[in-house]
Amino acid sequence: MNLEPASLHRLKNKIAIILGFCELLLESIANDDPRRADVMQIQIAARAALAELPPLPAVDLSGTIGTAPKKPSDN
Amino acid sequence: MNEITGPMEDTSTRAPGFPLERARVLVVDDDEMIGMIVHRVLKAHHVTAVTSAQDALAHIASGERFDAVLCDLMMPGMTGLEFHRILCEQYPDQASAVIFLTGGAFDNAAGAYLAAIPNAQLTKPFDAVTLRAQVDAHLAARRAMDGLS
Repeated sequence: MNLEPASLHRLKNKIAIILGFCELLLESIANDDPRRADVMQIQIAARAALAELPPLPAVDLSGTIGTAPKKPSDN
Repeated sequence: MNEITGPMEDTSTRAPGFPLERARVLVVDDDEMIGMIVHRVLKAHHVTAVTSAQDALAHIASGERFDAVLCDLMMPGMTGLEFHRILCEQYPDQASAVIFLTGGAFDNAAGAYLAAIPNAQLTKPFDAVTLRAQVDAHLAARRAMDGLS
């Protein structure tokens, strides 16, 4: 799969959203509710899709940040 | 400004010894849905979600203070690292409140920056249990520091 880093980031974000809402649904659906199995299938498929994606390549996030501030322990 | 907020409170700043179960949390992520999920997962807290670092800075510049700031790294306009750098310079108390939300990849310079600061990182996708645990640990640590100061 050949995706631009920004597209890959957005796609991973969307899968994270699917997984996040699955989790919220599972928290609100009773353990004996048959709909849990459906939500879990969505979860399984989303995790499988995530596993199919390549890792994010190194992305330049530094911009104009300059050097990092010192840790309190460095002072 | 795309924004989600929890129930209003009558204070704009955190009181010393704030309870863990009702802290002020700011979520900064260009994907509004991430903010919605965090808002739902952290419903025990007062959560404000914005979709840009500029909007987050506007909240802080207006005098609002947050006990935890969950911030995406990769955002258009201003990255999470640029946002953190500005906080360090202008609002150091808020810089220490930042927990970075990462996709797990960044270049050497960004990696070095992250390694040089004490702020926690949470890799997306994260599950609700991990998010709550990390935020609670962060809040407990800040409360302990408040107790010491």
